[in-house]
Amino acid sequence: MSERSRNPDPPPELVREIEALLEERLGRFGLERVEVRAGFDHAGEPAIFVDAWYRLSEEPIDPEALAEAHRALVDLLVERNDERFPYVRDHFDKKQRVRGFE
Amino acid sequence: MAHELDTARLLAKADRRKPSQSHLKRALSAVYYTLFDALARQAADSLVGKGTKRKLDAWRRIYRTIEHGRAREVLKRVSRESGWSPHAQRFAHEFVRAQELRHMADYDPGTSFTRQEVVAAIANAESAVKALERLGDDERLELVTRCLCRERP
Repeated sequence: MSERSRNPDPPPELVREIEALLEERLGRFGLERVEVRAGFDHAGEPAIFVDAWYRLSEEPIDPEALAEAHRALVDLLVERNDERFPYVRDHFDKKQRVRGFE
Repeated sequence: MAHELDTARLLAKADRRKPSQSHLKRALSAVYYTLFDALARQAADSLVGKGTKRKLDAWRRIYRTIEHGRAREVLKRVSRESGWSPHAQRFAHEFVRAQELRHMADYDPGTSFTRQEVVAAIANAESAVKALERLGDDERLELVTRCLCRERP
């Protein structure tokens, strides 16, 4: 079995749902773009890697809101019968403030 | 193990102008080990006991029996399965994510992190440990025994 058949790219509709979910929950923190791709985690298990890129935002990042958005992605993949774990990385501006760490 | 997170905070806040990748990566490692330690402590406290019981070899044995791979495997399932409380799923999700970030930090020299990503991970680890501590006795036992024991097929 090829790697691609074992771990296909997320279908475009799922990518759009992931983007919409993150935009809805994290748009206020300056979310600019989202990249979604299939990959393998360090244990060699199929996974979905999500990179979220943000511009500098007036509103400090709320770590709790990030955690809730990341968790919501797990629920979305469960609903779509996709067994892969979504690993999200948030890429912020280097001057971005984070609530609780100012 | 709160002091591990204090260490992570110090590392993340060091070098105010230009954070060093080495410090940020060490901080992510501390974040993961905070969660791993919290899980191992809950296992030993649940199965052996707290207070003076923590001095027993049995407590140490349970603490040291938790394995990284097995815990990840189980907690990945917990993060997806229905029937678990939001607290259990919160801890499970943060654990799996933190283990992956720790691997990137420790073994992928091409990966870099921002201070913001690291401080968010520290805050979320703190919340995840609190979530673990809020589990009811039965759910905690279910969680830790799944992490410790493999059932015969």
